[in-house]
Amino acid sequence: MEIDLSVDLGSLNLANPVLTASGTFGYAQEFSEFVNLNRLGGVVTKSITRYPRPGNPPHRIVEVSCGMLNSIGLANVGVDAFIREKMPFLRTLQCRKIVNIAGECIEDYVAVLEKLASVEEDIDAYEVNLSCPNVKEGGRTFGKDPEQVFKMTRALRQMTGKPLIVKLTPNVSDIGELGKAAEEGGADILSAVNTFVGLAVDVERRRPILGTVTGGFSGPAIKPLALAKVWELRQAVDLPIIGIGGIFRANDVLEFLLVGASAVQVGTANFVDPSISEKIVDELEQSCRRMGISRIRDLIGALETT
Amino acid sequence: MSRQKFIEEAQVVEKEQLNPTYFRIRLNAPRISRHAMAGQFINIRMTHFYDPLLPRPMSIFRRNGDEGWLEVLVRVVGRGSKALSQSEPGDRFTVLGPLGNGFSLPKKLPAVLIGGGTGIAPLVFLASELSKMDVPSMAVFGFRSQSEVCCVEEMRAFCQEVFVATDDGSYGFRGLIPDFFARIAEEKGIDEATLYVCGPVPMMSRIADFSRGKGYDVFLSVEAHMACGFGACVGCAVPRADGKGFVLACVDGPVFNAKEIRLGD
Repeated sequence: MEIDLSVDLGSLNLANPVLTASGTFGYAQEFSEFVNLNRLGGVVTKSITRYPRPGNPPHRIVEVSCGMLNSIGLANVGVDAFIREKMPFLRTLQCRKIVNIAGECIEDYVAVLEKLASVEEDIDAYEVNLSCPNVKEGGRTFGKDPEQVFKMTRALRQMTGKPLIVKLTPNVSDIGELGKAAEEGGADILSAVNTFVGLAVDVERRRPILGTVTGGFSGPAIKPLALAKVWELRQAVDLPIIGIGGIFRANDVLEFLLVGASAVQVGTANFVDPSISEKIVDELEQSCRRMGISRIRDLIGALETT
Repeated sequence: MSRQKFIEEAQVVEKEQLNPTYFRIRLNAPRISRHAMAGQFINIRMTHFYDPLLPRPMSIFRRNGDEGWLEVLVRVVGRGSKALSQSEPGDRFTVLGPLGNGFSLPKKLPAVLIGGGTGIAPLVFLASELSKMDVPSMAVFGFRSQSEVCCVEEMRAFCQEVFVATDDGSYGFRGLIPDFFARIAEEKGIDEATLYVCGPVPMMSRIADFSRGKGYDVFLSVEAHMACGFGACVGCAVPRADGKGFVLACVDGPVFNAKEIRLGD
């Protein structure tokens, strides 16, 4: 039986639903000796900002039960060096190339997108990271404010015809509201979720282990939380969703598809096994065959709750 | 510029408890072993389940490229090292390596290998390599007490002189390594040398401070919380000495010139 793993997220077509999550896959080249990148649905770069960012002081990483906390602080080379040093490799890939962008205020995001316009023919979509902790506008975390999410999405929508993916934070009581705001602002796709806020304590020293006290919680431990958020989002919006959170194997991908995601991003798993993203693609095909499913897209949103 | 890295399903072929707290574990990993250089490390995944989740970075302690094995020196400090210490011959771990940059050859002689606790691991590998190249070296090792002292006889075969200190004085010099090294340097009139240092942060800091303004090149092998081991997670940041951001222990290190970095407290 021929298995069709392809999925469509509006105008963004993927050969299979497996993408890599921003911040866990570098600029893709780091993984080229472990993974045949062209076998993936696509790659998502680390967050690119207007200026280079050195990142947060150590410790930036701590392991917790079945997961990890990070406080990397969007360390990246900045958009100019990204275009100069990282795009030449990305350009050689046949899979989808998605560039994640971040900033501290709307002008930052706009500036990054303006610069990327010069290489846009080699970019298949943008993913907008809206989970920055500190911003100009009243000191609020704008990723948590539907009004700000709407404004940001609308501003970026006016700048590009490329598919615009808005990545949502799960650290809100109603992720559906954020999704609706992005939809109204002109987003094409939503990705959910970014990391959950977490804290780990060194009891002997009575100190937080991370330099920034709290950090982003990821890994297998968050999968049920992420699935619930994707499910919630599915009820609230019509846009295609990319599910993210604790995906380590094909079965995890199928769970996200069933609750309504059209594709997924593999994140923390890349640190545990740098070749895992490609393995998941292989496994997906086997899983479909075993389940007698010829088109994986038939599983999207097929969860039966009655 | 990245050197070739390999993922191997490495079988434990030997495990030996060297003393109440240290274990020597030999893994069959032919490709990594063949390409490894002294000062590099491997990332060992403890389980295919999710806890412990992240692979653990371990210095390469010994290797034999022809026989295809390498060894790590383990002291039980957490769940990862505990799992490793409880492994038995025949068990398999997924191992990624060799990772990071190794030690560069000394420009100033002698080479002085200064290790504290399991920080001696990469220095034992280095000593064997220097010995093969007839580079004169001496070792200054420190342990908590006599019960932890190890590798001394082996080091005597590689180095011209081997000095040992223990915190409690139960073996060799009584006291801390930086004091011991300062005394040796003075007594022997060592004006020029290349120091290769691996151990607890306070020990490395004090040796770096002591060496400032002297004719020593100082290389520190640092440890950091890390996830991937090859530059993707950007978790293992070490502050640069000039205050301009960070370097990464995994790809820029783990061996750094002491002038490049600022060690934490």
